Amino acid sequence: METGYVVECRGLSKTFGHFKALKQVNLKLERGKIIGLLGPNGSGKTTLIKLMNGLLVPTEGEILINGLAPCPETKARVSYLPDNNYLSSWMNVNQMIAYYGDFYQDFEKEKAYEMLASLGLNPKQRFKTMSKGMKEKVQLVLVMSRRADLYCLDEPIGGVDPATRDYILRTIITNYAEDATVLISTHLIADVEKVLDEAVFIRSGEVIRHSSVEEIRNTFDQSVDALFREEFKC
Amino acid sequence: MLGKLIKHECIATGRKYVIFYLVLAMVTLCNTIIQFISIDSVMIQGMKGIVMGLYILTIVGVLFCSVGFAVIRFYKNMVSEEGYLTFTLPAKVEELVAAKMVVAFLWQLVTVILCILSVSVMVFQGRENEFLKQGAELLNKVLQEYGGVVFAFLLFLAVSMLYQIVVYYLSIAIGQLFSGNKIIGAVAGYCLLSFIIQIVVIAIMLVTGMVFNFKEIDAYVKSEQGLLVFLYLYSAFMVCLTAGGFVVTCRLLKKKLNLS
Amino acid sequence: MPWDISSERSVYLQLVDIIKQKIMSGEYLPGQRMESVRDLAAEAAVNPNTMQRALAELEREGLLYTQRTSGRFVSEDAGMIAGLRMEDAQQKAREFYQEMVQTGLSAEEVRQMLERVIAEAEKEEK
Repeated sequence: METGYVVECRGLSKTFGHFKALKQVNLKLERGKIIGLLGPNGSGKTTLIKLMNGLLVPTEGEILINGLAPCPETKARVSYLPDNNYLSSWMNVNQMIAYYGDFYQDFEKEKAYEMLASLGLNPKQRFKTMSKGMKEKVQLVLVMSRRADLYCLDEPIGGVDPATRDYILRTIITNYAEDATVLISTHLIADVEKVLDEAVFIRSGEVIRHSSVEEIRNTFDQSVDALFREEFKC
Repeated sequence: MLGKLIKHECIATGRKYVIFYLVLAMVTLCNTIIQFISIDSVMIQGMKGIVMGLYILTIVGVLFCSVGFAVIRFYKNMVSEEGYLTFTLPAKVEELVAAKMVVAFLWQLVTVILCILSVSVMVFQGRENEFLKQGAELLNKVLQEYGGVVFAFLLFLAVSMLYQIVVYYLSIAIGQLFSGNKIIGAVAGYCLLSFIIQIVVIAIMLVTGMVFNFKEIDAYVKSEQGLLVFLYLYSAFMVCLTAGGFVVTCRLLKKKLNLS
Repeated sequence: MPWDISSERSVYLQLVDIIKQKIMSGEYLPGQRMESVRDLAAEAAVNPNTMQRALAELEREGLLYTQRTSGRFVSEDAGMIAGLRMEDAQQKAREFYQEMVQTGLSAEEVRQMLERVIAEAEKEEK
């Protein structure tokens, strides 16, 4: 098992033109934790996750995954579920699974098929004919069927029905591994907080809190959701 | 990794190209058959003309679509939503771009060859033996007398195809620099690039003209050896531009990528 | 079905309580093999590390024990479990009594009311 932090941000800043999406972020994420990246829309959550995946480069500071700057090696160890749909419409599920299996050594095909079955998805169906909800489920299956060090889930439960939401949280829990970290970025805190080890509050590009959720409950005598509403009051 | 990328690129683009080729085959067949009709009436002649026109349009269309599709494929798979998957693959950006370039180039080659074949079929409709005999004779003669120039010319064509593809890719990458509409940015980038290359070419020509004598150059290029040298030089120049374009494209995609 | 856990208090403490209840009520029988941490956490819809801490605490208290190769089991000490049940029931009874007193009932009223309630319940069972 690797030592050190799975994600480390040092003085990380990202600016788009005049807009400062992230300002001097210092963050250390440990292995074996389920961590919530909690903040309102536009607070920098997606920017931070894109930086972890090498889809953006820092304007200032650095970000390290397993001690390395994002590169093909880190990409092989990180599984990313973006907020939008990335499936090619001409492919069907089987072809996408073959694709994943080809490029990712840690992809587990049997697991993927199991999950597809329990979600009632037909492996022969083309993405062109699938609803938005079905495509989201397929993407989730693909991402969670990898044995990665870091899972970045960007708004995984926004806009899904309650049954699917429960399934997603259940999958995150049963997928848990001591050496893997799950980062869930969301603004729907009440739904996920019982599954979290730690919470990172982010507002306007700055991390304003990073602690364990039990500590929050014990210290503030309220749920993480309640504390969040207080601290992010408009 | 590059091998895998190329394989998947072929799978992804294969379907579309095969459709183009089937259309080409069908239109070639139809045209050949229709041109064969020896009934001598004004209407038939008219129809023949129209069908021939359509055929020519198809050839031109297929050649255009072949390049167009490669450009659209690059755009869709790299900088639109599919980019979220493409750029998180455990592969270097150089490998991603190279795979697309190689496959696009190969399909272009196939397209050009099939178009030539189609025209040959058209011209030698049904007289395959004659086609093969005449073709072989012609080929032999040309190779013996002008072998070197033919090779240089083919090389020049191939390099131009590759160069064109890279120019389009680079334009798309430049489009990423714009915070507004990235497609408009790409078109703007393309115009800018073409403009810059034009200036560079004119500058080189002027300099060459000043160092040597224009009249001398004219005579030289018209000679076989001169033509050869000119073709090789131009090809080398384009290879440099292609390599440079590739490097800049990769750099832009690495540093300036900004998916929606 | 997710367990009834509030996010406003320590989830860890609630887990300890709930599992204790299940042991005392017999839902988890003495000597019964516990599911894996992940499966329990998934059932309860809570973080697996928190579940692990709760199970560790219950081990510390002697209600669960681990056998390296075979897994985690409920204690077979029926006596201890019965004792805990009694203690828990008594604590609940104390709290109940306090509540009744607060609504204004006297000790005698509470005693009579309880006997009526028990008699009713026994009749319904027959």
